[in-house]
Amino acid sequence: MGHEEPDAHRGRPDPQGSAARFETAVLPHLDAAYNLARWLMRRSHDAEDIVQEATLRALRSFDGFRGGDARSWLLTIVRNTCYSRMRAERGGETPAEPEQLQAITSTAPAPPAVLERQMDGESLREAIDQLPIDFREALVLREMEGMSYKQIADVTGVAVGTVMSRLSRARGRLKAILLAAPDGGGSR
Amino acid sequence: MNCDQARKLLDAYADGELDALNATEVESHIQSCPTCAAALAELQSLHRAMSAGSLYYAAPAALRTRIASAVAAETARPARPPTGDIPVPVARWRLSTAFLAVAACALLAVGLLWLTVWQPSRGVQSAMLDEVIGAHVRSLMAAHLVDIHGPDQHTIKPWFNGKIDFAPDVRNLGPAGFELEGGRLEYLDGRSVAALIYGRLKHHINVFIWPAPDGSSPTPVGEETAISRQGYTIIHWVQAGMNYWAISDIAQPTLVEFVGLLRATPSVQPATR
Repeated sequence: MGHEEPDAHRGRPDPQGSAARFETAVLPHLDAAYNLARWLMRRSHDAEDIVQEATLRALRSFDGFRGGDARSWLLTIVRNTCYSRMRAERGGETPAEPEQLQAITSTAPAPPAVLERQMDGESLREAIDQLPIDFREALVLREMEGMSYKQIADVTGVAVGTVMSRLSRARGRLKAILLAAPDGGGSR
Repeated sequence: MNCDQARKLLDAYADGELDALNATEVESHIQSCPTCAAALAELQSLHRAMSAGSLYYAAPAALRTRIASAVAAETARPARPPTGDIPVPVARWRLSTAFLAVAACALLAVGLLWLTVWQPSRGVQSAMLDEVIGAHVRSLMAAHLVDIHGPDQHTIKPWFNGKIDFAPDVRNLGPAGFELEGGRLEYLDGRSVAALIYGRLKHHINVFIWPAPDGSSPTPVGEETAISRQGYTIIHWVQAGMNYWAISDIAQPTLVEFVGLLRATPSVQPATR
């Protein structure tokens, strides 16, 4: 088995070597890219477009990628692509918050059985979909991607303290949505 | 620490992001406060529900194919400026030529620094890292992740008999959330080695195992070398006369947790010889 030469083309234009390095460094994070795009855009068709566009943008700026956390780097591009698309579609508006939930911050622990029942299958998926986008993206990156606060801060372009605050409020809001949902919708 | 203070730190505590001092204070508060303990249990329950994997959207196969084609098409084209405000290729090339001499001197200086400041074994280690990363990525891309399927470790361990000249320890970590997906033969460091594949959510961990050279000292638990490269975390240790290389793109703390569990779990007792 040959031992492939790593980084032998640094400093010279070499599309084939670049493509190979790109494939090795970035393409393994395609699932992460799609998952984030899907949760942000909420439609699979849009998510696929986003991932394709973001991957090409990543490829074109790959020369500027100095190694390190390729997943965070790719997800930053995916996130920015999502936000650009949403701004273009909505003409600059940001999604409005559901009015009735603005005042509810559920902090007291609920009876465990009630909350657990609502965390099954579709109820949880729908509840996450209802979260404001900055809450949703923090939760997705933390709970589904297992990213650290620092990594989430890098991808979302805010301070670590902001990440911590968003996660805390996101979880409180999620709990409120779950408890407010009509009962009996959770058959898997 | 009172409830208000504990409540503010509870999320960070549940996420493992608190420093040791604050974590200890939160822990002691929880032990005597049922309300905060219940709040923590809720956070953990929510975490389990969201990280279980059923909410994770994997990229459709058709999308992967389209992207692979798009990447190939993009790199086959002659170089052109990306949409944006980056200078045209010709100007860029002249600029690189001008910087080449400076870059060469800088590289030489860095190279000397690298050789003198770093451990000599780092050179060997770096080549080994590239091999491990290459093996990991190829296993994921070519749909050749396992030759023998898990999760039964009693099937996987004997499968290696006659294929390699040593018997790897095969440990089942399913209850801890690391499913044993299977085994595979690999070729690393100039020899046949065992690969064990574990799954965590939608991510895979490759663990490469082969005999360590005579006289290698075992790595004490908790002192394994963890390296981050190209977005992967790679952890290496020596145990019971074997080299272990674990690699994955999951978060580094998770891989560290995995390695800790792997080292602690009792090994398979061979059923018959």
